[in-house]
Amino acid sequence: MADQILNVSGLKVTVEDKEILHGLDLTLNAGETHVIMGPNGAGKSTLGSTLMGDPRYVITDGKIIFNGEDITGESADKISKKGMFLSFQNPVEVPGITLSNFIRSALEQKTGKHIRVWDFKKELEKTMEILNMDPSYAERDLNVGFSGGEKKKAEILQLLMLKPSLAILDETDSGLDVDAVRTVSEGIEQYKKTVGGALLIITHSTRILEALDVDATHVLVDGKIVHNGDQSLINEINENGFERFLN
Amino acid sequence: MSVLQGDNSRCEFTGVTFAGHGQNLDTGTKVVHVGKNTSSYINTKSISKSDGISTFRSAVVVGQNAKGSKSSVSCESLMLDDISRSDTIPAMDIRTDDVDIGHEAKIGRISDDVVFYLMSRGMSEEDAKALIVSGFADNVSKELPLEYAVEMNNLIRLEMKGTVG
Repeated sequence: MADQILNVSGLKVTVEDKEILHGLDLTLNAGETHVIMGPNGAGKSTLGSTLMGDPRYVITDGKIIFNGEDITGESADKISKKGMFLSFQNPVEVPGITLSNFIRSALEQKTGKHIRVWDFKKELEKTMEILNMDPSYAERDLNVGFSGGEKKKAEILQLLMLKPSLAILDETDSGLDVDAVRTVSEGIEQYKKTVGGALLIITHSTRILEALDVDATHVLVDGKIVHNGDQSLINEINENGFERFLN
Repeated sequence: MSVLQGDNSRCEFTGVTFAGHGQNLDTGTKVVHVGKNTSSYINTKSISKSDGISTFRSAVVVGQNAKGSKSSVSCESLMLDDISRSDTIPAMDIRTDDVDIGHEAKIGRISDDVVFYLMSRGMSEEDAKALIVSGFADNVSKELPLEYAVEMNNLIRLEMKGTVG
């Protein structure tokens, strides 16, 4: 059996006293790409935030095992250092730190080593080129005044720089134009190629998946995985919608 | 207090306050526009935590002859917990027309979304909050000479130590 990178069992999650996830099971092996699809309000984003350790999502039952360690109820910064990454649906604006300094300090936090500015700048520039990002963004405050597309690209830039072993992409393609979707999916391919990490892609559109080899597709409805399938399930949902999975 | 006596004279007031436990930082400024086409610009940031109180009073007086004058007052407050307090008390006494007077006050608390975002990239809760506070005071610290700006950020970091239980 391949190495399990993520094992979620019987996960129940409550937000403001309302249960959103009702016993969710999910297993990912190292290097695999899984897709979670589901209608609005099914709990897709809740799953992403809970895995990353958002304290507003309270785990009432179940377990999350990441890289062989129990991370249930662990804080986000510790989970991040263990190698998980969440690309946010709506990345927030943080005045007072530049994109470049932010990524460098995140890298230093993660590795515990000082990173030489020159080497870092070279890698950052190269990666920004792949993503078609104007290099001037590196010296602007984190996400402040970025367009929707640039914010998402900045998330992928962080993904490529931080090289996590598991990346969760929460609706990374929402609100992007055709060109931006292409750039972002090239960035994701680059991550698969150079880092070889596992991917958990949360989405309800399929454009971003076209260029990717998907190992498994899960359908999330009403806080539970109701169906598992392979890549062909994506096309089926594309054509017929979620109707057959709803009771 | 500044008195803008001569025509076309101008003044600027910039301030940052940080009220911690047991402190009531009651600060303020006053500007009197006397001459024509005078302008004043007041920009303050107040931070309060652990039952600290920030109070900022501003008074803008525009005299009868101060035609064409401009005044802009902006007060922003950030509260780090729900036992802290922040008050903004503006006073305006305008005795002529043909003037441009603006007042803006904003009060906010530290955003859980931003804290979680920063933590998800490996930053500790304490560092994340310190970064948000420095960012809040950023456009004031940009006005400061570099040595002072560094000192101010260190002070914020020091004040934020131990705020996370």
